[in-house]
This record gives sequence, C-alpha cells and structure tokens, in this order.
Amino acid sequence: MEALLQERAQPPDETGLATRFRAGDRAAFDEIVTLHRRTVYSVARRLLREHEDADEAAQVAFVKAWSARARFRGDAQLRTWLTRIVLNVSKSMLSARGAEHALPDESDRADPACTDPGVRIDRVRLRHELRRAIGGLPTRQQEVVMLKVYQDLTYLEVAEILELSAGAVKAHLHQAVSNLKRDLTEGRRMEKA
Amino acid sequence: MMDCASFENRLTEVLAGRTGDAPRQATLADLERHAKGCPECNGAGALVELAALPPEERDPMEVPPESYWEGFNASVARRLERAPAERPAGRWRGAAAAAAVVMALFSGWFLRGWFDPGMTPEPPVAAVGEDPGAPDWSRLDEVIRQATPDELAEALRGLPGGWTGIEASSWTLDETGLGGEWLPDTDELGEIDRSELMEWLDQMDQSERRPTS
Repeated sequence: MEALLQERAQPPDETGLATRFRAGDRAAFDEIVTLHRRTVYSVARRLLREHEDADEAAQVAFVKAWSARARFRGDAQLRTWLTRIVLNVSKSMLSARGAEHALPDESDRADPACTDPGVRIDRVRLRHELRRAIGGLPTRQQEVVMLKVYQDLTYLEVAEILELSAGAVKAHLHQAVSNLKRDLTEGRRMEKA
Repeated sequence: MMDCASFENRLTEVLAGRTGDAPRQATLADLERHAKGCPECNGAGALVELAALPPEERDPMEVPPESYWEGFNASVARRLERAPAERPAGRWRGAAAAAAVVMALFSGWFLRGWFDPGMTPEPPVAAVGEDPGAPDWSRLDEVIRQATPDELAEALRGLPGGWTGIEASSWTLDETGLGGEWLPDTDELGEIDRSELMEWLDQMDQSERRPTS
C-alpha cells in the first residue's frame, strides 16, 4: 500500500482554489474549469465516443460540480471528484440511449504520434482487438481499465472515483487482465481453427 | 521462463505503470517471450503491445482544436445562467427521490429491527382498507432525523424501480451519484443532508405526501 501511495507525485495543491470554489467564488470555478476541462472531456469522450456527446457531458459535469460545490470534500482531489461526476454523467447518457458501455471506436481517426503506415495499421488492429475484448468485460472492470490503463490515473485516484479501496481496484484490474488474456487467446484459437 | 500466474501479475503491473525493480523494457521482453511461447497466454500479446505504448498513445483521441477550449468556459457559464430556470424540475425529482427514500425506510425492508434492534419490528402502521404496505407518514420526520446517511443510501439501493414513476435506473447509487442524471440536487446520496430532505418533502404536494384518512 505504501508503494501505491508513493506511486505518483502529489498533484499541485489546490486547497486555496477549492476553498474559494466551495464558498461560491465564480472566478475560482472558472479556474477549475480551465485546469480540469481536458481531463473531464477525455473521460467523457472515452465513454461516449462522439465529440458532441463528450462536450455535452463535460459541460453538464461542470454545472453539476458548481451546484454541488458545498459538498466537495477537501480530502478529495478536484480532479478525481470531477472525474467521478463526469463518469456518472456519461454513464447516465449511455444508459438513457441504451448504448453499450464501451471504449470509443476512433482508432482510424487519430494517432498523432505515429507516422509509419505499417505501424499505424498494426496499432489500429491492436486497438480494435482490445476494444472488442474490453467491451466484453463486466462494467466495473471496464471502468478500472479505462481509468487506470487509458487515463493513467493512480490506483488511489481510481479508487476515489469509483468509491472502492485501492486494493479492490487492483483486484479488478488483475481480474480484467486475466479475463482479457483468456478472451484474446480464445479469439486467436478460433481465428486459426 | 515465468509461469502463467506470474505472467498475469507482471502484465497487470506493467499496464498499471509499475514494473517493480526490473527495468521496464526487460519486463516487457520477458512478457512478450512468455506470450509467444505459451498456448494459454499467446492472445495476451496484444496486452503486452498495449503496455509497451505510453498511455497517451494507447487509445488516442481526436483532440478538439484550441478554439474549442477557448469557448468551453463560456459555454459552461451560459449553462449556469440557464440553470435556475431548470432548477424546479430538478428539485421536484429530488423531492420524489426523497419521498422514495422515506418510503423505503418505512416499508421495512431496510430498517427491520432498526428502531429496536432487540425486537421483531412491527409492520408499518396502516389503517383498515389502506394498502398494508403503506407507510405511516406521521412518523416520517422521526425516521428522517434518525436515519444515518448510510442507512438512507442503503434504503435507496433497495428501492423498486418505477415506484414514483422515475426510471428504475435512478435507483442505484451509481446512477444517482454526483453526476446522476435524474437527481441533480441529491448528489452524494450517501451523504444526504436531512434538512435538505425535509425541505424537499415540504415542497411536495401535501396530498401526495400524506394519505387522506
């Protein structure tokens, strides 16, 4: 557990900002939006796939955060608190439209770091294969994979967002890896058969 | 060569960004070797490939142009300006939810034995001719005052979908958490404030809140 706690350097101290925000300071809120809008948007985008939906979810999440500012606990990081809000907003949107809870299917559209066509094709294949397998995981495992592997949050952050213990997050991730390994191996067997 | 259990453990650590004492590249090479040689793990080569990528390249997204971010705060501000007009509907949903919480508490499937843990609880009081499951609203305030946040949250978990006409999806804590679509004013139901609950109930139509005798 100690290792988990030391996993990543502490984020910048936002105590003062959070205090002003809780007191209803709109300028502080604006600063918070600026600081965290990309994170909030990216979580929504991973879940909802389309920019328009992610934009909607991100904006709604910030409005809800403002409405709930009095309940923001100082012991949580703003980033994790906001991530939890946007995760719930996105899930509600998915639920409302009856969509599967899945990672976005946009690998053909963007890969700024990769210019080699061969590597790019390999990565597209890889992402499609993984996306299909991840889509078959239980929802909680999907969330852990999304937040830990793709959003690169710490175990403690994921735990705070999902309201689990860090140990439980680790267990979900391990179980997800085990399930993915089995599913992917089975998939390759079937391809060969 | 590592065994399959060690492979899963180390693969999980690498995907999580941790490699212990071993250099990352060496760990990835070990994992790749195992995946290629093991019939039970060879599909996990895709996960090893994923782990080898920096997180930002694992599932890259189209990044909105800078102009989008320049207008983002203003869009949020505009929504906030509109929020007061939307508030009554939200508060009404909150009131319905609060009523449902109380219904849950009174229905007995959560608070059995809570008032007096040593005794078998009495069923909810109901007048002759009334639905025997109907709550005794006269004890409503007492229930709200005494219930702990955890108990309120637990009561919500047990609620049947559709009781107040709100979709069943409203009745899980996940759905009704901070970002819950249906309960914008009851964020963090696990920490619901009793006075707010009372406020919501006060706003409800009295005829709905208390059965006519």
